[in-house]
Amino acid sequence: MIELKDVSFSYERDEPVLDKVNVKLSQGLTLLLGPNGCGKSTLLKIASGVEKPDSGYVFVNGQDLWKKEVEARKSLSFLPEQPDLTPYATIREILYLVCRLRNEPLSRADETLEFFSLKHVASRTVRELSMGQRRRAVFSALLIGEPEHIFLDEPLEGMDRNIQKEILEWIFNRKKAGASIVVVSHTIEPFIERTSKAWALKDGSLFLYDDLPEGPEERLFLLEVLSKGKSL
Amino acid sequence: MNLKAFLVFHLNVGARLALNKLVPVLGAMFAVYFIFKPEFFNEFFSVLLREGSIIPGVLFTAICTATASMASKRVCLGLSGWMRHLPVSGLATRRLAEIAVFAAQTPILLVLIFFPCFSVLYHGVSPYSYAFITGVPLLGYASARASVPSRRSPVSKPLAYASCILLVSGRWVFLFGGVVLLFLTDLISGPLSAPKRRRFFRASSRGYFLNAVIIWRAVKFRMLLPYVIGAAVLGAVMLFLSNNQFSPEVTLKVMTLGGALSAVLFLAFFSNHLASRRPAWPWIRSLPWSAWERVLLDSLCLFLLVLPVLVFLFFTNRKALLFVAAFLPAVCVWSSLSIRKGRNLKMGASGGILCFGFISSLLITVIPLSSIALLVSVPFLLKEAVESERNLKVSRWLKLHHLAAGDTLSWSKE
Repeated sequence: MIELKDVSFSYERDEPVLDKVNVKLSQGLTLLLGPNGCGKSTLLKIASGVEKPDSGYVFVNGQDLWKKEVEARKSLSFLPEQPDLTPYATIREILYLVCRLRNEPLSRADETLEFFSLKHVASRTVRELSMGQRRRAVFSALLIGEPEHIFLDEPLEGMDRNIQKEILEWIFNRKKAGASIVVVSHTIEPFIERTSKAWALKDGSLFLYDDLPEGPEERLFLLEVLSKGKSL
Repeated sequence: MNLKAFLVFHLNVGARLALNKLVPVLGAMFAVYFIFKPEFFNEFFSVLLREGSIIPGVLFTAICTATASMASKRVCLGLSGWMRHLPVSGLATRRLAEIAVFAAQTPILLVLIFFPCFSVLYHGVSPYSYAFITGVPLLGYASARASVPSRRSPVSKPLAYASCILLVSGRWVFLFGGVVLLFLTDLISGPLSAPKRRRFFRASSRGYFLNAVIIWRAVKFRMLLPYVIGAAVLGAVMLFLSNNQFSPEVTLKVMTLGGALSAVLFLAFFSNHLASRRPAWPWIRSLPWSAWERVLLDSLCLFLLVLPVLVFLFFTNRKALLFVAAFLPAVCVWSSLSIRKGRNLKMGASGGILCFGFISSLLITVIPLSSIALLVSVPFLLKEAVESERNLKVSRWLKLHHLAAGDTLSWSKE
């Protein structure tokens, strides 16, 4: 369980992105919706420990994300929208590092490289890869270990159809296994049937919709309204 | 019409670079000129130009090509990317980039014209001065040509360098030869080409030493300059001691101060490189790797890099070694802190390191036992550095944010 308690955050003074957000993330697939620039990616970054909130707390299974840094992060996985891998390490080196930090055998890195057809470019740095390959490289890091809490920022962007299918399958399998997953995606159709919850961000505040309508058309309509930043 | 628009664009780029980067240099040069004996400079230039030899050519070519290559990196960034789909030929793009680089060098060229003109006024007309002064603007263009990457750079670059040297060698015949070479290089160079990334050796890492590997790859041979600066301080200390007779107490103080300052200067320059070339890596913060570990690893790497100072003191003055060794951990941790804070400061990472380093170097020289107090302060400094690491707003938009965000263009160059 992840809990955000009174979380506020701003990049510049007097321009709050999040304002006293309180939310508990339980098992299942949650869609995080809102218009461009409303702070969806920032919320994911805060929940996954990339950014520290200006005030408030983030708890992962009861542990403060910024006090028990290592323990709390062990169950987290984050896919950023921008594949921000360091340009000074090869893809294989990065995956080996992830294996070590997640206590997984190094062979797992090679398996994920194989899975994403990245084995032939594994000894290249990120600057020598195409954007699609970079995204696949970051995604392959996600597959190492069995993360309990998964934050995905535009997971289908820049991926070819086959990979998209594999990614969706992995997401739904993790959901079945009891993981809690938050997805930010402008392509909401593939997730409509599998999600039961939605969060909408507007003016720094988070609105929770725990019971989405049963019918797919009504559900799609509701999600589209939320993603445009409109109130119901 | 297209060309005119591109010309205006490139001149703007060049002018902005000149204002941003080179005007402070110009100010500093004039300050040095007027504060320290102008007669020295006048004498120097009059002697240099009186002979009409190739020496001033080599000297001024070195100055201009160094400036041009710095400007060229910025001007050409992106010209081989999206910009290439715009309706202008590769050849014209290369020439326009050269004009931008030329414009960026204007302040340096003005200095190079100002000094000889002044020396002509002071020391009378030298037959070589006019040829030199005429050649300086052309040198600016030739050095731009030498620095802008083109399709046939391997052939055209050496010719452009030769042209640079001839243009400012102070003889009309050489000047004419330089102009001919300049035309020739223009014909040979061809269109602008994307600069190729140089590969040094690629150490393989299985994750254990990734931090050290990343530091090495980010800085590479740029770490030589900080080492040279640190070594220069130690050299100066040794010269000072060998040319004077001091009591052992004073020698100890000199060695302690020299060793500490050498380490501080190394750390300041090295940290500045590191802070600018290894921006914060946002995604890694989501992995089970604590801020403590990241800061500690950085501090440890810095300590290992500055070890040669201790080795030097081991062979020269072991008492000084003890004081400097006790002082170093604090400066290394402070450097880690400054690397994290430096990106928001105008003075970069080095400003804080120099302030802290100079004050504490003086302190351990005057009161050697204060090095123990510095050693005791390490955990507190470490805590401060860790807090600073945690509080970094890693995804805030900065001028160089795209470096961290993985923008294709930013990876196209070192």
